[in-house]
Amino acid sequence: MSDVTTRDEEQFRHFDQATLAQVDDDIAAPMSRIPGRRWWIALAFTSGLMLIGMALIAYTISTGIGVWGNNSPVFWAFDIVNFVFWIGIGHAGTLISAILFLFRQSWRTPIARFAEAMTIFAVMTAAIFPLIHMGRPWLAFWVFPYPNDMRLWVNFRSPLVWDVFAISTYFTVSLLFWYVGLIPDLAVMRERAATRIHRLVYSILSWGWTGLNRHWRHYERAYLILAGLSTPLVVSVHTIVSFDFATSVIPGWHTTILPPYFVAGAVFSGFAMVLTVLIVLRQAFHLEHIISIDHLDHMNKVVLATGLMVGYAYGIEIFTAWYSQETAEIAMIANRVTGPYWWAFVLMFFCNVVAPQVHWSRQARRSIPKMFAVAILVNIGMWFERFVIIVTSLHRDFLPASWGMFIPTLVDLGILAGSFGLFFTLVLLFVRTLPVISMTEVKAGLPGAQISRSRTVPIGLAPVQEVDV
Amino acid sequence: MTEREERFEIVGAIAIYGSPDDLADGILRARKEGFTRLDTISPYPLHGVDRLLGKGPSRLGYVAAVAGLTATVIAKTAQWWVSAVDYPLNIGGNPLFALPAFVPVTFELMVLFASLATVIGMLAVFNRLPRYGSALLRSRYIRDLTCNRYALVVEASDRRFRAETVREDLWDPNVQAVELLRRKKPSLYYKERVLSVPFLVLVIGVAIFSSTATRLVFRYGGEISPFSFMKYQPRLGAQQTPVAVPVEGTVARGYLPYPYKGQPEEAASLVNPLPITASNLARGRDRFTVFCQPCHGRLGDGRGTLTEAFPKAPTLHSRKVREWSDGRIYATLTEGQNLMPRHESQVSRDDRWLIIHYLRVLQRSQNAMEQDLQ
Repeated sequence: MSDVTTRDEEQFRHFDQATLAQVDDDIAAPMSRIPGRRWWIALAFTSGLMLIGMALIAYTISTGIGVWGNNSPVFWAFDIVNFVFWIGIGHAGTLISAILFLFRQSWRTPIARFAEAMTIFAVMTAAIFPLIHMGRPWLAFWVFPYPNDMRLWVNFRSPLVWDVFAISTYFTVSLLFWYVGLIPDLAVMRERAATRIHRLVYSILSWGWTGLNRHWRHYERAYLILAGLSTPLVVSVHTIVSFDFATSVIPGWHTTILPPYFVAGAVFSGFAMVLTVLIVLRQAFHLEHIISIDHLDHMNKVVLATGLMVGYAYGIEIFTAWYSQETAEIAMIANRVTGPYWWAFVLMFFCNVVAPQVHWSRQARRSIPKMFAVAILVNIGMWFERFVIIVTSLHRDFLPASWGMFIPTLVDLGILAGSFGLFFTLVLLFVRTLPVISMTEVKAGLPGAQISRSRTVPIGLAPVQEVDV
Repeated sequence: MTEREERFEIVGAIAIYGSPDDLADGILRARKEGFTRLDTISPYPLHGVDRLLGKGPSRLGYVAAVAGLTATVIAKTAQWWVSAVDYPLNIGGNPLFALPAFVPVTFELMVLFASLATVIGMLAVFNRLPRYGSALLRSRYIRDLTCNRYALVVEASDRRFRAETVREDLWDPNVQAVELLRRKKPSLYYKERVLSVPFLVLVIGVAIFSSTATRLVFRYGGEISPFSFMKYQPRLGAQQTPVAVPVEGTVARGYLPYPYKGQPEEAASLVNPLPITASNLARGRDRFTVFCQPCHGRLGDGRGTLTEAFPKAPTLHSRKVREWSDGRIYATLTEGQNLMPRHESQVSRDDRWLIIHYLRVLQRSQNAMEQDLQ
C-alpha cells in the first residue's frame, strides 16, 4: 500500500505554479550548467591578478614594508587608501539589504543578495590591508584585548581599537545576515541538486530547512532584527573609520564633517560598484526580467543623491578652511587643489561631482552604456578621494623641512590590482555556486503568491500547538 | 509487520495544495475538524498564516534585547576595568574612565551579541534546527514544497490523528495529494549513521589530522623566517673574537704604547709632562689614595692598611726613591717591581704622572729642609 493518495494533477494546474518554478529555474541556471568559455577567461584573469597580489604580499611580508612607497612624512598611503576604499564598497550592500528593507523598498529584492555578497567580499578584501600594514600580520591578534603574559591591554580610547571592533563586528554581522537570507534558498538548491556532492553540501548548509510556517515566522523576525541592527551598524562602521583621521591633528583630517562625509562616500562608491557588476551580471546570465531597468534607475538616483552629498562635503571642507582663517587649514586646502597632487583632486572632483550629474536626465539613468560609464568613473573617483584625503594631507608636514612626496612602487600597484583580483574572483565563484538573487523573496513578491483575501477565524477553535517533525 | 514498518515510524501526514488560498481554506477546515498539532509548509513566507493558525508574533526580539543589554553591560564594565583599574594609561591627562570614548566599542559589541543571539536563537532554539533527519525531507513532495506548492502538516502526536484514516480526514476538494510522513526510528538512525565505520573513521581521521597539524604549526611555525623574529642570524657568541679587529699598529687616543718595557733605567729620562696645579695635585692625591695607600700608607711611609695580610711594602721616603727621577718612578708604576703588580691597565698614563707629582709632595713633607720653613 502506498503512503500517497493523489488526484489527477491536470485539474489543479495553478495559475502561478509555472511562474514560481520559472523563477527558480532562471536564478539557478548559472549554477546548474558547466560555465562557458567567457566565465573561465574572466576567472583566469581575475585569479591571475589575485595571485600577483598574493605573491607581492608574500614579498612584502618576507622583506618588510620598505618595499612600498610609504616614507616620512607619508606613512599611510596605498595600504590605508585601499582599506578605506574597500570598506566603503561594502556599505552599499548593507544599505540595500538592511536600510531599504526597513523602508519597505521592494525594488531592493532582486539586488539585495548580490549586494550583501559584495559587502562580504569587499570587507574580506579590505581586511587584508590593515593586516599587511602592520608589517607582522601573524601578530595581528595583538589588536584584540586578551589576557596575555605581557600584562598589557589595548587602549580603548584609541580610534584604531574602535576600528578593530567595528570591522570585525561588521564582517560577522554581514556574514550572518547574508547567510540567514541564504538558508531557504540553500534548501531550494538542495532539492535541485544534480549530484550527490551538491546535495550533501547544500543539505549541510541549509540545516534541514523545510519551510514550515514556524520556520518562516522566526526567520522573518530574525531578518527584521538583523536589518534593524545592521542599519546603525553600517553608519557606525564608516564613522569609526573616519575617526581614524578625524581625531588626529593633521590639517585635512581634523574636521567634524568627516564621519557623515565618509558614510555618504561609502554608499556612493558601493552603489557604483554594485551597478558595475550587476550590469555585467544581468546580461551575462540573462536576468534582465528580474533585475529590470527600473531597478537600475532607482540605483542611479541613489548614486546621484550620494554624489551630491559628497560634493557638498568637498565644498564644506574648502569653506571651513576659509571661514576658520586657520593658516594650516588654508595652506592644506591650497596645496590640495593647486599643489603637486592637483591632478588627483581634479580627477576626484570630476568623477564624483561632475560625472553623476548626467543622472538628472531620465534617459541617462535608463541607458546602460551611460550608467556603466558613470559607475566606472565613480569607482575611480572614490578611490582617488581616499588618496587625496590621506596622501595630500600627509605629504606637507608642519615643518617645511619634513615635506615629502609619495610615489607608489610597483609593489603598491600590484597589491592594489591583486585586491581587485581577489574581489572579482570571489564574485565569479559566488555567481556559480550560490543563488545571486533571493529566490524566496522574489517568489513571495510575485502577483498572486500571497493569500488573496482575509478569512474569518471562527471563535472557540482549539489552540494550535507547535509541530516538530 | 513489514520491514519498512519496523524501520520507520509514522510521524504525521501532509496534504498538498496548489495555491495559498486553497491552503488558507485547508487550515481553517483542519482546525474545525479538531486537529491541533498543525502547521503549514510554503516555499516562501506566506503572510496571514500566523493569524489563521492563531499564532502571535515571534518572541525573538526579547532574545536580541537581552543579548544586547548583556553586551552593553559587559563592554562598559570591561573597558572601565581595563582602562581605569588594571592598566591605567595616562594619555595627556585625559580621564581614565572616558565614557564617550567607550561608546563605539560598546555599541559594536551590543550589535555583535544581539545579532549572534538572534541567529542562534532563531535557528537552534525557536526552529530546532539543524534537523537533517526530518521526515519532511523524505517526502516525495519536498522539492515541490520548496518551489511552488503548499502543504498542511499534521503531526502524529495530535489526538485527532489516526494513521488509518488521516488521508480521508485531510482530504478536501482542493487537496492535490495526501502523504503519510515516515521517519527512520531514532535508535536505528543512531546505529546506522553515527556508529557506522566510515563516520567513525572520518571522526578519528579529523582528530589525528587536526592535532598533528596544530602540533606542527606550533612547533615549527616559529622557526620559519620571518615568523622567527630573527632568531637565526649571523651573530657573535659571548667571548668570541670580534669580526672587526683594528689594523695592525693602530693606537687608540690616549694609549700610546710604553716604549721601555723591562728597561726601568732607560725610562729614567722621561719627564713628567703635566704641570703642577692644585687640581692636578688633588687628582694625584685621589688616585694615590685608591691605588698606593693600601700598601704604602697614607704618607707613603710603608704603613699601609693591608700590612696584616700582605708583606710590608717599602717606604717611599728612602733616599733611593727620593733620588729617582720622575721617569724611573713612572717605570715602576707602569711595570711593577718585586711583589708590586703592574698598574698600566688600572691607572691611566696621566693619572700615573699625577700620582708622581703627589708623591713628590709627600716626600717633601716628610723630608723638609730648612729653607722650607722660611
